Amino acid sequence: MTAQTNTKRTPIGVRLLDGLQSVVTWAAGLALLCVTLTVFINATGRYLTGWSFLGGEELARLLTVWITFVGAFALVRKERHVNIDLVLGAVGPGFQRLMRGLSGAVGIAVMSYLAWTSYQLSAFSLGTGQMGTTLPVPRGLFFLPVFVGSVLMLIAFVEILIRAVLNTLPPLEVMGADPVSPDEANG
Amino acid sequence: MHVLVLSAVALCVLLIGAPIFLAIMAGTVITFEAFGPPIPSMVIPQRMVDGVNKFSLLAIPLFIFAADIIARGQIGARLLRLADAYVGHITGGLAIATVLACALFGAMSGIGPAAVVSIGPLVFPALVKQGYSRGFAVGLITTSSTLAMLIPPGVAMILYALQTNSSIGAMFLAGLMAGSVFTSVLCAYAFAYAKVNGVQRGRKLDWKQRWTATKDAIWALGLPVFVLGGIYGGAFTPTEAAAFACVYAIVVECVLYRSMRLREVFYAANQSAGTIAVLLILIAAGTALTYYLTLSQVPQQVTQLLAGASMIEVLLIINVVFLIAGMFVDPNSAIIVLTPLIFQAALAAGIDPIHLGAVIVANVALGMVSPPFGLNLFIGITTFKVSYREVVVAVLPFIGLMLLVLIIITYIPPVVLWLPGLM
Repeated sequence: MTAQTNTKRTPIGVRLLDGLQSVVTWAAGLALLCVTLTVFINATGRYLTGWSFLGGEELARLLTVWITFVGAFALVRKERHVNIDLVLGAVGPGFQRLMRGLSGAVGIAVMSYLAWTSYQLSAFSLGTGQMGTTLPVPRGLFFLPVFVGSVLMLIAFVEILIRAVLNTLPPLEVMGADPVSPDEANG
Repeated sequence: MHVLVLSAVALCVLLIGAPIFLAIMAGTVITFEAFGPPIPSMVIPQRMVDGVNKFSLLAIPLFIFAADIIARGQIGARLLRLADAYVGHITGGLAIATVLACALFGAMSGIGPAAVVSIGPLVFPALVKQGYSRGFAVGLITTSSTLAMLIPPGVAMILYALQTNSSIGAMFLAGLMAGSVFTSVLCAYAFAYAKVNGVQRGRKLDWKQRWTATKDAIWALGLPVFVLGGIYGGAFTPTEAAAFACVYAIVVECVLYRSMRLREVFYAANQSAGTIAVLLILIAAGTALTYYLTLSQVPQQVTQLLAGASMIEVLLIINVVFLIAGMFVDPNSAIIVLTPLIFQAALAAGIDPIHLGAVIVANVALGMVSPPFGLNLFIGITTFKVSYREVVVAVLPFIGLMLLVLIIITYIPPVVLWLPGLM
């Protein structure tokens, strides 16, 4: 049993990405709590004490932009983004693997484009030294999450493509389809 | 030509099962680079950030978070007991109580499937035990939960208002009217079903027992009063109201009802952040798409295409397009992608933007329970352990009822515009 477990040990790259995914998930949860408290404290403060944090609204928006682009990485890895699995659910495991690999390839192309253009945008914005309207942070911090998120999603799509080629993708949950066993899914 | 290329690329990417946001991005990026005007490519990420960098948009993630907290706690169960205490003894009482509990739950959560998960497991065995068929029970719960999309604060309503720069407050009032019509129709059907099938009535509770049920649910009932009262009283914006809803739900569940621990609030935040990322990245991609379509004057072309059509014909086209989209795509994606395309044409045909919003949200709500891919169907399958076929057959009569409500909302505009008109 131990020998079998050892031979099927998860590769270090996947384990590293699992760790990164956990960190991103926790950070996104924490950011959401911060957004909630910031908006709540600002609104109550306005009525109860007449005080409110001037940059609160901008901070809440900034955190939401980070949640959007960086948080999307975890969902790409889990293949839990909203999709139309009409064809995926109808084809066999081999063809399913091909389609998931193709999705990975499209994701790599699009995320490479987005990473490059968002890098240019972030570098340009940070280079101008422009600051937030009420929050004393560089305005480029609003564009940086697109770069960070697209790089992370690029890595996730590369992983999907490699695992599709190596036939080590986990079974996919398709709505309305009969559950596929891992062995079946792996061909 | 470029719209054909965009649609073909997006469709091919969708068909291989890639995420919808990726399909939108792929189509937009390829056509922008091939046919777009000579402006720097970094305008694409800039537009994506602009799409989600809005304070009014924060209402959506915060209401999603509030819904997650409520779905994990006891609020749903207490609302059900309350509704049952008052109407459980009349013909079709438990079914009517289910509809009312879903409507009240919708007034707190704003997301379609939340009530299926929260209220469904509590009421399903009781409905079957009282003599309702399994199919009726499944259909009733999965359909009633879509009330959350219509009754404020519906996330789809906020999304539409942001897409079209309409008043969120007015959209909420239109949704309240549409939701009330749908609630009444569902209650009437439940009554008729129980009468025809001779379903036994529940025991009538005395006023002391009713008062106990009311006392138990009073904090839960305070949430919609507090949130909606705050918005319409001018005390706070919808975004601030959503933050209040989160904190209120946390205090009620953790401190007053003691049904959750703070650790679970953090787990709920983690889960909500995932749901939010899925939705907001779609909005970001949709904003880039809308930007490109506007540059290419596509909405104007759609307006010209429908120039000779009457208001009724345009409404019919909108209904058909959103109904078909709703069968395959989730409600928010349909609103994000299709609304900018038809909005100008609808205005040109003389349709009120608030009326249009109510029609679109009612359409996508119907899509939630429509085969083959309505999301609530699959949540019903996992929640009630029924087959796909069973749940599809179960919702068919309810789809008929929803179509009836949709026709009323679409072709009798005062039904939804009366209350917003008083603002």
